[in-house]
Amino acid sequence: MNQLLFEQSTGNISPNVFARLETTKLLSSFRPAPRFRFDGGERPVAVAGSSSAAAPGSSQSEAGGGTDSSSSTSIWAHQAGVNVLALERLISGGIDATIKIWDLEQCSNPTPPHTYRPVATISRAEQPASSPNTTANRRLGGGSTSYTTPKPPPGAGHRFGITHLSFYPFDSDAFLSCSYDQTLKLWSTATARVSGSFDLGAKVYTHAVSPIASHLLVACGTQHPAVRLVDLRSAAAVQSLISPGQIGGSAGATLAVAWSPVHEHVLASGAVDGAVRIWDVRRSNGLVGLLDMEDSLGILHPGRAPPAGTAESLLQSRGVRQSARAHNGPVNGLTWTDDGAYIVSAGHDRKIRVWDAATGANTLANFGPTIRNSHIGSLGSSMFVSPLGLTRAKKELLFFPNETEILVMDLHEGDIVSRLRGMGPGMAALRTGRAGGERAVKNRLTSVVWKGAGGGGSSSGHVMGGRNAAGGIYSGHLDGQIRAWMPRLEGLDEEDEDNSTQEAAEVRTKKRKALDDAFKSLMGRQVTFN
Amino acid sequence: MAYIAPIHRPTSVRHALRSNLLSEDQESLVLAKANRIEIWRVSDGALAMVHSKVVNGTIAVLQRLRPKDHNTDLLFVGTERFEYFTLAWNNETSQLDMIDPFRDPGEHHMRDAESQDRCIVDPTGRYLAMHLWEGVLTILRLGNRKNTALKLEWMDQVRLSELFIKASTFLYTETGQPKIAFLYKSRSDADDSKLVSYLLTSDDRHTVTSRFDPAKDREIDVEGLDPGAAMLIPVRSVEGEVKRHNVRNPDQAKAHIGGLIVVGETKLLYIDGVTLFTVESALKEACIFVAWAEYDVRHYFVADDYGNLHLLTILTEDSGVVVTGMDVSRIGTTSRASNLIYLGDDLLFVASHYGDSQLFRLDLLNEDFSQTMQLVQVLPNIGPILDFAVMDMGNRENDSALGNEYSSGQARIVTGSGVHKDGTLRSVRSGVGLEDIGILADLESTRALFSLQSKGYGKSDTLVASFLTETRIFKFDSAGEVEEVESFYGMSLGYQTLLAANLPNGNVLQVTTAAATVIDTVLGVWLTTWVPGEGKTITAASTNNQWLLLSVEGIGLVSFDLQHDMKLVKEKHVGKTDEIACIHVAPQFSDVGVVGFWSSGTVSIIDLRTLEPIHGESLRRTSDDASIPRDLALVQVLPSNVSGPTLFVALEDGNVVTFRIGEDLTLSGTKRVILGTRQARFHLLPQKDGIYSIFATTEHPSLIYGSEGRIVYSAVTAEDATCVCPFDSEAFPDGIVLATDSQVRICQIDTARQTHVRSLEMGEMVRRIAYSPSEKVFGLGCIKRELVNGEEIIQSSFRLVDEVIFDRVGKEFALGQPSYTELVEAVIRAELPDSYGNLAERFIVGTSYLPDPDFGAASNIRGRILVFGVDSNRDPYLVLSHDLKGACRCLAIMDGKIVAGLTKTVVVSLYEETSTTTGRLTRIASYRPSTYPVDVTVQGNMIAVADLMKSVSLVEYVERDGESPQLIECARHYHSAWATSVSHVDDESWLEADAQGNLMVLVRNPKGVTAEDRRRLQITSEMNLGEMVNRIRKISVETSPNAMIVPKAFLGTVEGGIYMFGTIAPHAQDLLLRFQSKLAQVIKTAGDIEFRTYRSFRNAEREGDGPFRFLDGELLERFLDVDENVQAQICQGLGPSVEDMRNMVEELRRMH
Repeated sequence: MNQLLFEQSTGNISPNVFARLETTKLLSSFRPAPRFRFDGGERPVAVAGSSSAAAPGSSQSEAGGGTDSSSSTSIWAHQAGVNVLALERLISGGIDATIKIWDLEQCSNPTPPHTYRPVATISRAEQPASSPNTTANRRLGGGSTSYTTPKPPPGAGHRFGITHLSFYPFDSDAFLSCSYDQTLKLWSTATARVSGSFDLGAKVYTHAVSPIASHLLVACGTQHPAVRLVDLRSAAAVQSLISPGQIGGSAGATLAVAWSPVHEHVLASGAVDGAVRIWDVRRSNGLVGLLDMEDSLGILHPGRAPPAGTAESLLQSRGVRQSARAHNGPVNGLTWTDDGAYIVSAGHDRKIRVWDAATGANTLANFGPTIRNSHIGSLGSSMFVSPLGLTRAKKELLFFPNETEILVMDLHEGDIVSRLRGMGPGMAALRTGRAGGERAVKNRLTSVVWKGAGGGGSSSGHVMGGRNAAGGIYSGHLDGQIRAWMPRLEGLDEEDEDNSTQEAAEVRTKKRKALDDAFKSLMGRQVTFN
Repeated sequence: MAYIAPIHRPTSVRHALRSNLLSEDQESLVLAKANRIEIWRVSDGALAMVHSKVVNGTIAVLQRLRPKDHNTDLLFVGTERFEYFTLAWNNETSQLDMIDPFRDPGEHHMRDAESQDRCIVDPTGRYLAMHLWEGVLTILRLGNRKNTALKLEWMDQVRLSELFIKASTFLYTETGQPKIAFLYKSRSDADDSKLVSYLLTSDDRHTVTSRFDPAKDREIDVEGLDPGAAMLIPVRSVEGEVKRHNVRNPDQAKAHIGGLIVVGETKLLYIDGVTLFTVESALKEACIFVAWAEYDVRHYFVADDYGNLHLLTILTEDSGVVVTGMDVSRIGTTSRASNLIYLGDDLLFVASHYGDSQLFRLDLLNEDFSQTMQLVQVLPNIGPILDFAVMDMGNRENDSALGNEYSSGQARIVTGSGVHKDGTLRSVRSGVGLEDIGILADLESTRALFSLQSKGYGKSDTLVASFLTETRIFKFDSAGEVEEVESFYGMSLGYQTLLAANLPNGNVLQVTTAAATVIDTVLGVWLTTWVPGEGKTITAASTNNQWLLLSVEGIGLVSFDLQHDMKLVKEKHVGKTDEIACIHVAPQFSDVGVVGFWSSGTVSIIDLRTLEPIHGESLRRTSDDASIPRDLALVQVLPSNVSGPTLFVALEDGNVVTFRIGEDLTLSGTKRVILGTRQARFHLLPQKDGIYSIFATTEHPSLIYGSEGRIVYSAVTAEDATCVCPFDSEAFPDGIVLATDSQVRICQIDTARQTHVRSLEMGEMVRRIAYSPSEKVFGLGCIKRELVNGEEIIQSSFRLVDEVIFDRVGKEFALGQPSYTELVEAVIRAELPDSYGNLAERFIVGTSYLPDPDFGAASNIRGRILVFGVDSNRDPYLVLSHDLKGACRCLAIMDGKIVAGLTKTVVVSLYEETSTTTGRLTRIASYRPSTYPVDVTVQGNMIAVADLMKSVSLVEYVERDGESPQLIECARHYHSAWATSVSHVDDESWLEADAQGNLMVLVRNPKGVTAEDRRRLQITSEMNLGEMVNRIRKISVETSPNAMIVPKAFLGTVEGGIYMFGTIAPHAQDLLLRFQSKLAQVIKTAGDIEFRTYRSFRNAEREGDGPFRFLDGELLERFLDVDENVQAQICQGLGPSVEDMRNMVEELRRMH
């Protein structure tokens, strides 16, 4: 890097190129950062008997490096398991229907250990009488309140697990959440109050807001096969996108939706039937086409009519494909690259496919057999491609939550660049909502989010890691933890230590010798020859 | 509130081209320097600037276009912010007219291209292809019809399948159909080169762009080229007897002239543009080529990265059209070229970013190799400024860069400029240049100098030097030989001469302390003598051709009429109440004199006939003010049609007061200027048309002259001048004679201020520079790059350069070892206690080791901190070498402790010297910033750490009793800025520069109510400079309480610009801000790009909406250039009058 800095100072390489070289290096060097912990405020039940000992024990051993005083007790972000995260400021949604808002700038310097505490908690919707609203009340995670309440008043939190959270793309003062309780809610970040609630009449698995559009349409993927569009301006579900083939037996829930980052009316959706549909919301029919995993050529010459009578025209005259499968199983992950050139889809067939967005061709990128993806429910925003400008063209990295690890892969080649592991034990004991009961669940990643620094969108954007760190990935886990991952910075970690002095070296050799002796005396067997 | 003004404008030439911009018969050279376009023309074998134009934006693209049926070219300009426009020369107004501005919507979702050719134009000059985004080609063309011929049409933005384009060019085609060739890589990390060409358009009328389908549209498609190839040279075709379409037998086909050359690092490939036959030639030695220019069809100049110029020759068969091979031979050395422009007539222009731009005259046929190229002209370039030292702000006593606000006291800045072999050390100061011609004699404490002419001689040939007790005379012959004479027409040499002058009738007037005498030079006899009374001496004398005025003992005034043989006209006793401090006879008024008085502090204009005062003026502003006039000058400094004569009064405290003299000799329009701390002496230097310049000597000599209707005070580059006289001799026309405390010299003086750059060629890069005032040396961290047997050797060293003689002294100290390369990263100077506890001057050097490509980072040692002393031979000697586990990127001193920024840690260490040549560095505290520290600045206990990616954080060094010291982060700027440099401004504010060229003033609020307020640095001013700042150096300048701007720092940029940064006094803020916004609406620049958008903060995270509480001095000063009506329009509603505003802006301009 010193040499690059030198080149930059001579004006030989432009700042953008320099930045890109740096960020490319950082991108592939993410490491666990256990020094950051997220304390949601829940404490082990007062009688933390032997039955629940497993949970604190596991999280403790995993959090190893933390020297925070609170590490002596167990810490959870969401005791019942984190289901989803969203970043701008960090928000997390738990299986227990709570939403917590964290301020990642609480800790200004990314080097020393830090335990984050939520700045606001939105608890589960309860009886109107017991708690009228949801401001930052730090209460024990839903243990005491009754479970079966009548429909809560509008303005309260969700009743069931949160399925997806996202920030309003132009203004981090608002965010959206959806839940198994069939609603989509709009929140104000500052006050943690709900500012709009939409009942969609079906479990909402995911939603998406266009990052560029002037419209305020939220696309929702629900249990119902149609993609529901909710207009935040008119506060109404204005449109349902449904294609002919979707009605009937083969129809299934929509698990993934993603807006194009380039064309404001283009939307991709993935459904249980294995199809990825591209929509243009301006069209009455809506459907533009389906992605076909068998098609590696794509639509030939988009936008230009080929001469009549040729095979090409024949091909195009067939119009959009009405049925095609992108995956041999439910599609629960969809994302676009920032330049809108590629669509990435993930399905239960344990495949990730990369599609050329211009032609709809399967680029046949092969990510190998390591991919795990079996849970129904959306991968939501947790599968993402590294932002534009951080890498050179065709060198983008795909971050994929692979059940128990985060896979960082080359988007086009499919090579695994790094596997981020360190999620704690495979099984986690979690307390269920009622009366401190406990169940063992398989620990798994539920959500991965990328920390940028707002603004974004610019072609020369090299912002990673928000405003105070070189980079950051945050992951939510079923064992109730939020974990942080940071890039490894160049240089030796102990570079500030003085070991040039003679004494330090002597002490070290002495210690090593003592250890050696102890080991030999215990393990070594005297060998004598006679 | 912040202010920035350029001291030295950017000089690095990034773009250059030759075009028929001005007229059809003469080509001109167009250069782009940061935000300026300059048009130069060859006249008399040298370049002369014809026009220069400012653009509100950093120029990223420069091309020429040729409209249909036109004889002159258009200039196409694009800025870094994707604003484009075309310019045409208007012969009537001699201005560049803008034709066609447009703005690239700045596709937010595209990635910028890394191609080296961002914009190319086809040979007809009507099609333009821009390659700004990876995988996208933007195609524009000029209109076809007469009324649209000058209009650029946006044709299309096509997607390319070739993503990683290294170079692109248009080819010469016989049909005129534009054809474009790309040299590209298959993958971003691939080490290969492929070449393809496409027709730009797909129809006959050239209106529909081609689809650039790799499967169908490619014409040339060559793979397996030299992987290092990065340059394409299109080759014209020539008419030959052998027609290439006559080839019947393809086996015997041969490549003809007309196609392109792919220039690689090890081989050259020629491709026939029609038949696609290729000819390959290997290079004799590997070379990285960076620029080319066409000499003729078969000869091309190519420049390499090491500053060598080669001639590429296409070898042909006898027919002259069949290519058989290529040959490259080295013909000379130049600056490392950014562009080569062949200007015709064997003149080659080398535009350079790394060093000076040069103009060469070529003689390719000369057998003598050394005669092939002759350097004709140099356009100096001090960019890229890698580091600089602020020498002194006028006074030398203090070791800090403390200065004063003397209007003409100029800072001297010494920069480490240039890259690799073009590295130089440059001393930059703005002022009136004084060039020494010769030293006359070593004479101490000269009191006065006068030049005389021998009889019948139009030029001066005699110099009278006056000393306290004697007078000496020197005579010059026409060749400039000088001889001291024992006598000169019987002038009295035993006294101090107060005045010596030629009279119009050829006689010589001499006034000594003892007598005033008129001498007949023909006869050599004294004509008239006047002796003051017994025991009295003459204390002052002044004359014009008509009158002589004497002051006797400060109490008597005597006037003589010289036209009547020095007839005593009037004698007057001034009296006991007051004494005469100075007298002056106005050279241009027949009978007016001026007298200044000691105790009353007044000046009076007197009638020489009666010695009665006509008008008087007190110089005291308050009753207890003790202003005493010490020297006077009543001359025409400005042309008489602009202003009447001006009276200058030098006060004892260094002030100079000026009055306008009305026709009735009334005094008005008082202005005060501070030139120094002690009285100035005025020396009149006659100019043309009866105008005078005044050389004012004080501790900072100044030249006072008229320019653009204003009186300008400007520093002169001779610090030690005590007296001066004009000396227009035959051998030294228009020279002056200048005396210092120890010497008398003959010099040539500029008539107006310029920025003076003195350079010392180093032949290696001066990466870091530190100045030691007590040793009077610069400590330089240098990096030398050499090619030895085709292998690049990088060698760093620490060496000293003497400040006074401005040359290397002592031995250099080489860093690194043969087994590893060590790079200099930081050099600072500090006073540190030596082993006896006395403070000693030390240089501290931080280095990094380059990772060994063969072994990786094998050891844990990644860098060093070295401490040097300077011995009596002025050799640096090593006191301490401390190994580090990280590269030492930056250094600072905090109260005797060394603060070092390592790879990712900031460490504070204690430094002790254990003996004269050994020392110890002990770490006492460390801090880890967000990513990597790139710069540290210390103010008190506060360390500002500029972070590579995350702006600035402030860290406080805290020592508590009983605890180990700590570095505690107390505030941070929450922003993703790729900082390059940071400096303290004042109190709690800091100035930061980032890689995108933004400047930010950050303020900490330690009194904030919440912890949140206290730990956040807020931006109080921000602006985009358009150039990357490499270094900010703090200065402290004492200013008068009512100064509008307080200079705080100097900034050095990559493009070779030096800027002064200042804060604005509260009383001027509102006015100047409103003034700037009004100006910005009125002042027009090329391209009509708004000032707001140009100066708005912009980086990846955020875009500002115009400069925020930041004043651009360059814009404000342009106020003086617009005509008066416009000035009045700007000032309307602003408050101050036009005149006041002008004065204010002039004051701003005087700051630098």
